[in-house]
Amino acid sequence: MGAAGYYATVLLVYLGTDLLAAWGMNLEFGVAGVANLAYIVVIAAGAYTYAVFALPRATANGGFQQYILGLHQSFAVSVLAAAVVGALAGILIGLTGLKRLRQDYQAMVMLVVSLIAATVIGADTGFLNGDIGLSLIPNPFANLAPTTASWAYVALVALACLVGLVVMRRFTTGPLGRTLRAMRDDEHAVAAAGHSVVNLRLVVQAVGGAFGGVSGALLVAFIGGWSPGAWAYAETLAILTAVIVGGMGNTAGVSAGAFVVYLLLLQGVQFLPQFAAHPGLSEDLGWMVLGGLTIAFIWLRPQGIFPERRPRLGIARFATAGAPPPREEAGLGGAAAPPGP
Amino acid sequence: MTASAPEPGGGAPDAAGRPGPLLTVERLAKQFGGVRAVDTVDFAVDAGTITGLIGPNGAGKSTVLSVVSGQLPPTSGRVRFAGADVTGQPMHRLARLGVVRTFQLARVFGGLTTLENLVVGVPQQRGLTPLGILGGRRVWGPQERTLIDRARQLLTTFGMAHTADDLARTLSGGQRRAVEIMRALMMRPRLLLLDEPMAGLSPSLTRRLEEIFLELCTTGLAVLLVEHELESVERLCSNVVVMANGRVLAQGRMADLRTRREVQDAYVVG
Repeated sequence: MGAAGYYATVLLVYLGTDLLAAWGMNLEFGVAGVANLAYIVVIAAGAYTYAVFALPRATANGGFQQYILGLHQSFAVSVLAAAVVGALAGILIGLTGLKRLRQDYQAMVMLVVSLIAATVIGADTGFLNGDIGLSLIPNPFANLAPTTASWAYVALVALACLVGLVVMRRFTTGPLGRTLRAMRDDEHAVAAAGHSVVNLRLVVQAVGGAFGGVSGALLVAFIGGWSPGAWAYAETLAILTAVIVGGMGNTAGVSAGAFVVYLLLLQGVQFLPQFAAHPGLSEDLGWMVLGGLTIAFIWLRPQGIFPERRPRLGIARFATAGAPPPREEAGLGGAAAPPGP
Repeated sequence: MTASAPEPGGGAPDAAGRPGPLLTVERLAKQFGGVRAVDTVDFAVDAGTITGLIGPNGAGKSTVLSVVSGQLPPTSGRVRFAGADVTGQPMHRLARLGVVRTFQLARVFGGLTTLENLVVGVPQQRGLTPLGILGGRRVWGPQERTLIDRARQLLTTFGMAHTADDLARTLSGGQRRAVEIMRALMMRPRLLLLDEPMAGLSPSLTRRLEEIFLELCTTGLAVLLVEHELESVERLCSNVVVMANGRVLAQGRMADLRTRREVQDAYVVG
């Protein structure tokens, strides 16, 4: 496989894992209005879980890195574990930030959780090898020829995205999706309608966390290494930008947002010429543009490239039932007996 | 904190076997820092009646409503609903028991259509259970069709069928208020807590709402009505509680209360 082919597989795997993460974030923020600025933590939790489930014991590779577990499990078991731990991490983050806090304060609490998590993991070398991180994380297709392995992995990620799309649809449409959107609009009114806001948020953060966990697991199994440097809090802002730019609450829009942010923007700057006097400026430009893009969309087009579109209740039924009689006043004024309480 | 499950009809029966009040508020108090917004308030609401809660601005009426509905925990005192102690229970749990409130500023879900706003008002939906989420439309579809039919019936009753597919954020203030009331009725409440439902409505709309409330009461629904429109209160309420400075000043029929000097001094001038 040539360099271009390899680069294509890398991009596709990145895009697939970013899509899963963006869909999870969209469920939390775009659909339910939970501003989880610690989302990268659930991705990291999934990545580390996959690593310590799939890796053999720390002593097996000469003990050059230290970590817990080392269960040497199969790819499927390790990814499943990553999903479960991602969901649990999502619930834990939710518990720290959700109780009796206004949404903007919740966002701040979650941002702090993200910073604390990276600092703690980096400081404890016996837990997940500290700042150096983990390497030699097993790839399920390591025994195949490199070209076949890369494309097989692309297919695997595509399959995961397909399953993810079906699952996400279950949560964003129907009664649950409608209730989550209602919660996004007004939490007090949702509670007055008999829905537990805390439970709804925790469900959303568990499902979003599972998506993040799988995203992290699939990414780390492909790239083979993971360290705190890979999951700085700014990564959450990149996912958030994908959601805002693509269109909050719109799965297809968010997919487009992930494409714009991760492939066009963050990969695109790699092709800029290097500035000799300012090494690293090209990469930093990507983040600058990212921040500018977020502000521009929030100001000028808050609905994103593709505004939220969803099937609304009963429109077709309404048409077949015939047009309702015109009212004299935009308000009350009917006459039928009310259905009893 | 529930001592026992709420009775299916009114409140717990008295010694003679008569059904007790549906709602009983006993020595209720609510303090915010150094401000005692509600101070030792007692009153009761019977099933099938409308009880008015009136008083000047700052009297503590909306705070009472917030405590009774579970939005705010009380500082002291008790709230009993259908014989059960429901003091301090969260709003969503009380709503499921049948205590449903509306807000002073109508709260609608602006990103949902009018019809969807109503359907969201039913918490026990199959689509919200794990089985419903996994099973999809096959599991929750039939129930949803029933809910849509009920919502359309309500929309027709309120003369708003033509707005069924409009986003709620595009509705007028009066329409939003009506949507909020219809959403509460979708839950088939036993006690409806209404915070100034007539505010900002035209006289004709006000009369229509009054008719609807009176019709609903014939089915056993109880209403606790916070309202500044005293004509509406007089037409609707069999019992009126007057509050001032966080305390109950007087209770009785509106016609009698109008003659009471302390009530006139505090509030009623007409």
